[in-house]
Amino acid sequence: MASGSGAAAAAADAEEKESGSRMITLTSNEGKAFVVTEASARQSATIRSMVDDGGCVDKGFPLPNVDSKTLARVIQYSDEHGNKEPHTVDERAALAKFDRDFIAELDADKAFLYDVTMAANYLHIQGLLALTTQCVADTIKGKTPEEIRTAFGIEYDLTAQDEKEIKEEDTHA
Amino acid sequence: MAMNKLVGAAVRRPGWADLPRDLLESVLGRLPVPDRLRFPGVCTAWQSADAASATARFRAAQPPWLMLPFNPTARRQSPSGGGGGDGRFLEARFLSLSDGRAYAIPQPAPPVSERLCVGSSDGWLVTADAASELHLLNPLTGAQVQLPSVTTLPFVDASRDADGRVASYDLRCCFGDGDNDGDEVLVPPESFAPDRLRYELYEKAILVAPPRRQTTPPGSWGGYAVLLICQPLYRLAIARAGDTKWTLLDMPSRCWVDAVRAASAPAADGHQAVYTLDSVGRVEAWDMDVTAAGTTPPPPREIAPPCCCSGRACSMSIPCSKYLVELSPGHLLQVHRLRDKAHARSKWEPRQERVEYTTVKAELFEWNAAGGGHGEWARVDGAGAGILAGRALFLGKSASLCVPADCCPEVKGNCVYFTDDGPWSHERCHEVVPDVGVLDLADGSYKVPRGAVRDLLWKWPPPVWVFPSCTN
Repeated sequence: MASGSGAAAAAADAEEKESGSRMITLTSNEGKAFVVTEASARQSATIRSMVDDGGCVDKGFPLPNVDSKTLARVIQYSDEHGNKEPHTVDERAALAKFDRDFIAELDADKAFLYDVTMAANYLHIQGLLALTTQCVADTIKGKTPEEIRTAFGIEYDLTAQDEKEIKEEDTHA
Repeated sequence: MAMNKLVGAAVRRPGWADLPRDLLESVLGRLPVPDRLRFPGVCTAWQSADAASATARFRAAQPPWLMLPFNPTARRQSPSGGGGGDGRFLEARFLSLSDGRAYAIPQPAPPVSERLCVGSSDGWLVTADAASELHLLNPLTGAQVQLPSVTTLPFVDASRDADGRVASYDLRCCFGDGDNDGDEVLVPPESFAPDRLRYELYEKAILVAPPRRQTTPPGSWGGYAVLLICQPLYRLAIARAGDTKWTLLDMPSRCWVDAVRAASAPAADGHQAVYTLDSVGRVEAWDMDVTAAGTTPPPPREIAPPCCCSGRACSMSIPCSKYLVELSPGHLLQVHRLRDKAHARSKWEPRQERVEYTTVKAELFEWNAAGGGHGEWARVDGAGAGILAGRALFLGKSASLCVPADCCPEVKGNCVYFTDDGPWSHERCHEVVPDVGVLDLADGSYKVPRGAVRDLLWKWPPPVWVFPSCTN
């Protein structure tokens, strides 16, 4: 698309940057390439700063900490939030509904929710991170430590000594 | 990357216990108070994240909560909400002094709305259910430990119906050494309905050692010991982990009115020192073996002689109830809470029929130990920078406790936070507004804690201080 003189190419480039229509390739740790719009990729503060630093946009971004299944799900989120900007009340409601459905699906699979949370953290996607940590908090609410361990598949590893220390902090004794 | 994958396959797949600390803190920040308090009880990683977060400060500074009475009209309004399907409440409500807000926390069976609290410390409540049986209950975590049956107290007999359920209890007010038939029974046993015995029998329960989670069998609790001051004659009984019955400690009875665990840490062999206070203000120290179920501790050692306040009927429990507080190891303070009939201050006509007491004054006595087992109780003045400067006392059926006032901005120094502790009866607990208030020693004012005014229009169950702990 970009051709002609250098100046023209640069202008076209800038235009593309603004419109976010440039395509960026993200590669999972399994080597699978995902091509996304720049607007979608810019949901990630990690990628945004690399792009703005004039990084290797053409070569794409390898993401050694993210597997394909997780990356696909993360892209589903950032496409929805990056490619459309909600203007009307209806559009905002649709986006909120998307978030609800998105997190409800993850809520049912806590192991996958963990992977998505870690990916969102690594990629610095604040909106997604807020969504997943809220989901974790909602799961914890009203549960006993035992029930929390069951919900998240955590093993009990506190010793009597640990409990004693917490207790001492607690009782003002 | 391939190497990473190999290593990843060899070790356990990372999971929620490995969530980075900043994310755990973000989760913490989204949780309401009761859940924040439970959070570190999940696993070591979560515990250390919690310790490093601002919440830890918050939690360490968590002042006592007030367990609130139930609003009986809410029962009818929301059968599915806080109430059970049968009109009983399954959630307990607590007023947090730090933010003046009430928190509802679900509780395990039997329904919390049918329980009477007779003790509270270390995050645990000692509750008496509708059959007058005692449990330890951690209202934050829902953990529960059943204590030996009330029928194992030597002066209680149960009459059972055809299904083996308790129809009534007999309480013998005069007795010998248990099964001694030769002992003369001067008063015929009195009979009580299963849910009425608890008002007659239990004065106060003190946790000598809180329960600890055991690894074998999983989910069990051990290491605990509960000291019970019970009627008739305000006697002491103890139940420890492994005990199937209550063991009476004093023969003859000494009319005990309060007991506190000594602040010194329990020795490695499971012994715990306990101070007990009798109705005339005498203090004795016991050496209790927490681990030896079924044994009777050696006789107590006398610490301090009787102590009399200015109250006209100081030795009687209704107009003057007494509490013992250990301010620092070995530093004892005795509090006399003077009450008067609420009528005396009531300007409303017609005055309430029911006799009701309200706290009018507290007198404090500090034990100044001298050499050779001598010493004296010295009256301490509440005005100015007194002995309670920067400190507050929490008294009632809960463990008598001194709390630094800087633990939270809402706890005021030089104040005594009282809950009603009887004498209780079914009628008084259900029909008379409980005597709960904050007595400011500086000016003598007595006010209901902030945020509790509306809830304290309700009566049942009598409110009690709770010292939240999430570790169980």
